[in-house]
Amino acid sequence: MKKILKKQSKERTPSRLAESFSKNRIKRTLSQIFIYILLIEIAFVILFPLLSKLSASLMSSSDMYDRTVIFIPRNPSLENYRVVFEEAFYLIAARNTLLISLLAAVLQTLICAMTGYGLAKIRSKLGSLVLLFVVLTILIPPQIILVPMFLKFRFFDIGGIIEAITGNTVTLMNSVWPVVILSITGLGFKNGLYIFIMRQFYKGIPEEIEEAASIDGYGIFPTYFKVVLPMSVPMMITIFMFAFSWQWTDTFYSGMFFSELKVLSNTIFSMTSAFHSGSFAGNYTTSAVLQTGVLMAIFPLIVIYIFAQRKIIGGIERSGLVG
Amino acid sequence: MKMLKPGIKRSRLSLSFRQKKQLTYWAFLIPFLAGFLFIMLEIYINSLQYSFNDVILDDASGFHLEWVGWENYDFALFRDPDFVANIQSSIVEMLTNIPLVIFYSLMIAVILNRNMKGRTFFRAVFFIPVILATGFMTKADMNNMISDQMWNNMGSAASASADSEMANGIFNSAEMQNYLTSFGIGTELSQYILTAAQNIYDIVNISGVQMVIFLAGIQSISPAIYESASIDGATAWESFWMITFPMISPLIIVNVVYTVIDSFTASDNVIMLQIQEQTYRSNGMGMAAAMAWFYFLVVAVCLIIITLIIRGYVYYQQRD
Repeated sequence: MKKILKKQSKERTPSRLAESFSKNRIKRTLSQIFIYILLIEIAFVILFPLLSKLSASLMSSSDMYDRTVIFIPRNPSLENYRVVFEEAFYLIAARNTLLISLLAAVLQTLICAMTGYGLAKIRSKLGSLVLLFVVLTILIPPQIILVPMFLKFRFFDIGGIIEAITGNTVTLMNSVWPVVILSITGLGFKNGLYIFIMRQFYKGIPEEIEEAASIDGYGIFPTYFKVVLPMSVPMMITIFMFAFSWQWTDTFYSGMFFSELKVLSNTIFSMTSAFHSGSFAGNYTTSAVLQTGVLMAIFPLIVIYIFAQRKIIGGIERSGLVG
Repeated sequence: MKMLKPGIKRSRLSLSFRQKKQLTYWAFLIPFLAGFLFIMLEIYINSLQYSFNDVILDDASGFHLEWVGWENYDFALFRDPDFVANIQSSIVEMLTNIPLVIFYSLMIAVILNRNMKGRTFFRAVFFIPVILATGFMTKADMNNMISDQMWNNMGSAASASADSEMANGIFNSAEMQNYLTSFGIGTELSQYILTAAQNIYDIVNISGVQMVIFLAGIQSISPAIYESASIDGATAWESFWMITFPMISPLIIVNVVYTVIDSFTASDNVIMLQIQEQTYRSNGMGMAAAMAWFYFLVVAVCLIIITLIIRGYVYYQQRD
């Protein structure tokens, strides 16, 4: 009996293996196909508005008014792009936007990471109160504090100190200072979210790592900057990308602070109002030019994100401390 | 006896050491606290002050305040026909959106974390909703609609505003409902699924941030943990529920909080539109501030309740 059983099992094993192997393969390919269909569908939902903008931007004005032209331009032209380049001061505005966004994003990422770390470590009622303040800053939408905020930076002062010394308040409009001040204090656009993300992230890091560092003789600050900070690189790059792209496309603060300074989110919109009033009136199809402008403003961001994504993976491999 | 004394001393020392450490951690908060106390607090107090006043614009000094007490709040709550109904509808919308957004963004993040062809492309595409979260494109489309009306350009520009309608019209709801009920799913559930399917355009566009946060969270989990789990024979399904899910559960709370806040303060929220409209009315700023502050209270209460419910399910890797 035993011998027979052994024989049978010996005979069966390879064929079974092959069977289960091919089954697994089929299963895997099927799930792979399903995932691709899902991703492509959702990608289409996301890309559709942009694609329709792309098609509008490539149309010449005769195509714009021709109802038989749907989506694919009959007489493609780059005229719209040329208009945006010249009328929206694209290169200057893009350079300014890049510099401001970089500055804001670097400051905000660092400050928010530090604040998040402090909040993750402090275990007292007072610490929770500060966390409440952090949530408060994102909970109160900026539109509501628009007027007091404008006044604050128009007549800027810190607790009456500046006025006491110089006898006057400072006007910070049309400079990068409002952005710098808001960034360096972690109060910029949606910075509360970044602080909250970093706090939750640091709460998820096992304490043993910091204890090991402190046994090795590291103080709190060296532990943070040399051990904990490198571990949080993927999260910080994500926050950096949020801060960067939101500063880049921000119309709210830019409209308030930079009425003279040329940044993309302003020039693209002011460009079209010039069409209506000035010598350009009626020369260009406003909507096509505006859509082209939006595309040209967004495009650099997508490229930058692809590079940053590569960095995230590199960041994990380099830190090596994980686990 | 002599042995005891040093022991007591040591414990006291360690206590003060821990306290010292806690005090040092406060140093991390200095920039935020300074900014909050010296800049934001004043702005908030000013705004709160407006809500108890009529803000009257004049030529001389811009505007002046006239004290009216609770009058603005009274009007918004009891005499304005839309305000309370709008608050109710935005709470309902928020409650339907939370589970959909969290489920969708987590699913996409897990998928995009896999090693597959075209990953970079898909990641870039799924990042686009984040870029557009500031309402940059919405503003452009709005401008277009206005200028279309002004110039009577009926060309393809109108297509941009019709995008969402088109994406929403994919499903024929009556047929779909019959189909779902034929499976024996209850009417309420099938109704919920249908709303989800019809709102897919909105869900996709408001989930971008959450998806990216989840993705970053998953990416910072050490691959060594998965490796050791797979050596122990864990399947992909098991390692998702036993490793990925608990490890990113602190971020689930972030995403829920963000979804709530985003749903309440998005620029196309009915209340936000009402407040904005009120701001631009002549002398309406006091009323707008009153509405905003009451709304803020409602949102805060919602947020506290939701956070308390979820907090029990979150796993932190730290000992308390």
